[in-house]
Amino acid sequence: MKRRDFMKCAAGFSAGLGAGIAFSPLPWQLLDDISVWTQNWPWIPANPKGENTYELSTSKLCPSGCGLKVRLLNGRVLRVLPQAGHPLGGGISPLAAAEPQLLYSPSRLTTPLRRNSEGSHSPISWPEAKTLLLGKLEAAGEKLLCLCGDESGSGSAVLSAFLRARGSEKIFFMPSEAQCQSLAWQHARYADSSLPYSSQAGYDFEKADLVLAIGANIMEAWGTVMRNRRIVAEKGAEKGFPLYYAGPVQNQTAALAAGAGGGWLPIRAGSETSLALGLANVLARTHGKKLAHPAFAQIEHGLARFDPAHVSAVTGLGPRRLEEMCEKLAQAAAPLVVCGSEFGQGAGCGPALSGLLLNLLLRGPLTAVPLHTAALPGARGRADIYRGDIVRELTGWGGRPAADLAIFYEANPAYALPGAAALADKIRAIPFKLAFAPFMDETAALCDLVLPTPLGLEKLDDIESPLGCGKVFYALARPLAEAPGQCRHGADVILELAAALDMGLPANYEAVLRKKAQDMSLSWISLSRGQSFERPAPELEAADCDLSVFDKLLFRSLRAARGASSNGRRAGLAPLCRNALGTPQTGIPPFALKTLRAKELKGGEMYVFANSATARALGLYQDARVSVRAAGGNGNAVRNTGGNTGRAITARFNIFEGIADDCLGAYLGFGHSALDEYSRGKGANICELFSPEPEEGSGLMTWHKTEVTVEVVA
Amino acid sequence: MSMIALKEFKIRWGMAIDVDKCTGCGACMVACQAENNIAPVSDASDKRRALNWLVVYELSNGKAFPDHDLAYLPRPCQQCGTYPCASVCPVTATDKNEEGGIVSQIHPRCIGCRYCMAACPYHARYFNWQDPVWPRGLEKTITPDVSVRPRGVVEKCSFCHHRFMWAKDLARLENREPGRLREGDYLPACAESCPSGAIVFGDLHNPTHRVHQLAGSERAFRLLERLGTEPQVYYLSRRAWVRRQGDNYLPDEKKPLP
Repeated sequence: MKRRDFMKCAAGFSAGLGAGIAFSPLPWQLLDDISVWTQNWPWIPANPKGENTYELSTSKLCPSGCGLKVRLLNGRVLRVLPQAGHPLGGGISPLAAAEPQLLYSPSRLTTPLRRNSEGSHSPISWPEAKTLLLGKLEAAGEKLLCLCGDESGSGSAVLSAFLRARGSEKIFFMPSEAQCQSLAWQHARYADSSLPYSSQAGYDFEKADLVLAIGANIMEAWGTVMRNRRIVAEKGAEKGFPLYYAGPVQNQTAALAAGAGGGWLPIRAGSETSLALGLANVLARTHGKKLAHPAFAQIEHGLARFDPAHVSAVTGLGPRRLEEMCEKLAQAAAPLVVCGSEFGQGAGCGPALSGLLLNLLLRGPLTAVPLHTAALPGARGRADIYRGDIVRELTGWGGRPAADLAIFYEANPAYALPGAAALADKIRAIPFKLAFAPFMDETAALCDLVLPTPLGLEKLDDIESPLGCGKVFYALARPLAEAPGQCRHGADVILELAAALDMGLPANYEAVLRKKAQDMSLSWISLSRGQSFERPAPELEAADCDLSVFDKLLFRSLRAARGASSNGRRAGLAPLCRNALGTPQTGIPPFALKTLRAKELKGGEMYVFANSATARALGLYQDARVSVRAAGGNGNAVRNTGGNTGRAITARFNIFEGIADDCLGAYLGFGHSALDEYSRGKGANICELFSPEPEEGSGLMTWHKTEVTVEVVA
Repeated sequence: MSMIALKEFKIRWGMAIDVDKCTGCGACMVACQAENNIAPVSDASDKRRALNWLVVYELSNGKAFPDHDLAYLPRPCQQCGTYPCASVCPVTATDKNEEGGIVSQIHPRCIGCRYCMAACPYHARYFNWQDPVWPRGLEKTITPDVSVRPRGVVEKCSFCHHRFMWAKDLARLENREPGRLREGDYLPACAESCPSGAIVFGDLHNPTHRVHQLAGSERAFRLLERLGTEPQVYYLSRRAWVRRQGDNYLPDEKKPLP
């Protein structure tokens, strides 16, 4: 071959090869494979494979009791989706949707832990824990105290039966709006009423054609939120729905009210009851909304001082807007008023009673929802347990604790009680403390024995008629995931201890729930497949109520109102709740952390907020670092809470115009000193600022009128 | 104006988000993260680095108390009809070529140049500055449906495209036409989870779908509509100030507002 031919062949071959490569899929496929390979490093998690199944349940974690459709992959819980057709559902709350990550959190407690002399906790076995506990129970005798964080389940009945068999009546729930509502209802229920003693007021949103929420953040954090939102969305699908919100902060309910065609009535923090009574006064005098009852004259006399001018001075709401609201309420066929605490606790009986009075005047769709108590010897019903007040109990102790052994059942009082640090000192002084907890929270960290418990998707438990529910509701939370390590349901552990002490209680918690379902004539098979039940509750009539309660309790509960303008650098604290900020026991779920906005949390600092007029009056400016200090209420603060008067938190300041004058807004749920990296060290715990005071009349401790001083710090 | 001509399809999946019904609870954001395997971060307050396919913005009418009003605006990818992101992508990692009109994002093709992020007027695209990290145990919440993205690639909302595939598969199994899905057969996780029913999803071309009717409502508007991106996400509000914030109107603008 000549050189020229060789060159021609080589050129032809090269050109052919080039063309072949260019038109062949091979290089492109290789390039694609390489690019895929470069993005599949071993440290990048791979997608799992497997079979999908779906199960129904009801959320035990979310206070709204929303319905769940749980997706499982190879039998493992993967996702939580909304359950269509669930009576308390309609969507899913951020908290319920974020629950799977909590199940697998590396911070979960997996073994019993005993506190050693250095203050740290070491693992022990269950038999050791049980032996230790039996010994401590024997030694404590009747000096037992139990604080329960689960209001909607039957765990409280088991605990109360256990305590009563040991000679103690000291069982309490964590302070909540449900307690305020329940106590108000118990005071108002006429002694000879045909309605059951153990019942609660229900709010029948389905029948309402206008809803006024005073204080209660019914679209975010008060009661059956998912149901409330579904109903308002359905009713207002075409032309909106007349939803009104009265409260210090333009919160989620106010946002929905503005969008739905209603509106926001800004009032000062803690003035909800005055506004409700002002409305009742105008409705009775101007619109003829009266009760045909001899006791009503006394009520009218009590209402007389709540004329528009007085109410305007107390609430900051103009008399014209008050009267406009009355006109709308009077014209509606079935108006419903929900009056409660903006942050779901600490408001006493006043708001609930004033809401009851308004609903009676307007003949609003209120119901009396009967509550069922698990049939255990000595068990106390939910309504009965609400009569105890843990804040009054702890603050009433002198130098020595009145209990030798305390059980904290899914409750985190060291974080969530008002004046938390001061009351934590009281808890710390109890000789032996036991916590049933899924995470090492602030209270568990103080306890001598910590027993790991399952979360809502890992245990069999029940949910009965949560706060605000207008009908009788019952469902089971199902154990769809395996609890990590040696977690055991707290109620089962208590029943095991009861068996060891020959108390005659059922052998396990499932037997308690089965008996309760049987007593309620519900199918256990349907319940255990995730079906929920709803039954109508009787409507509430004025004849069922003891109208003298309004004079005896309600009008007395109102002390001298706060002045119309801020006193020097004082402001009324307006706390807010957000579902996404989790619970005191779990902290903020990892997924929910990203829902926080730039002016709510920045690094480790949270924001507090006020409007520009208040900021000017207080000498504050945007992004200033401020110290917020409890001003100690109006002088009647309980002194022996350990001195929370003077306690301070540090935060950044944000100007937000959606808040009433003289108020400082702040979110609850921040400032954990325990739990995981998604909750710990983020912001400050505003529970520290609360100053509990006894409510006149009911005696219930309240802290919704906390005042603070604010100053810029370096 | 966008550099790409409007690309039409027989089916145009779209959303109508009723701003008046949104309470800003964040359920849609949580559902989106869980559905699409978006890793949690311990400092989510660093909004430049925290990665979300769907963000709920708080809107204010800018007035002082007591005239203040607020609204919440969820912002997924707008799935623009004239998609400015795809025209700048040098490797065709993002495109709009499938029936349904969803702007795709092919993560293995992405070279991380971030031109698309600069081009997107809605800030709907996010860059993985770090590898995703799931704390030990939390990787059990990773779903089989959406691949986990490494550092160095851009990602965005896909209208939960895998659910579109499921809906078509189900239609085939039930001997139905996969190209004619019924309303509700295919729902992104955000629309499914919203407790207020604020997010309505469906085919914008199908007159029987609610989203079609809502898109034609006098309350409807789209974000930055005057850029001509033809988004497939519509917003609804009765409030003029909310509609006005949907675009950059001059204070004394004479042109009628949407």
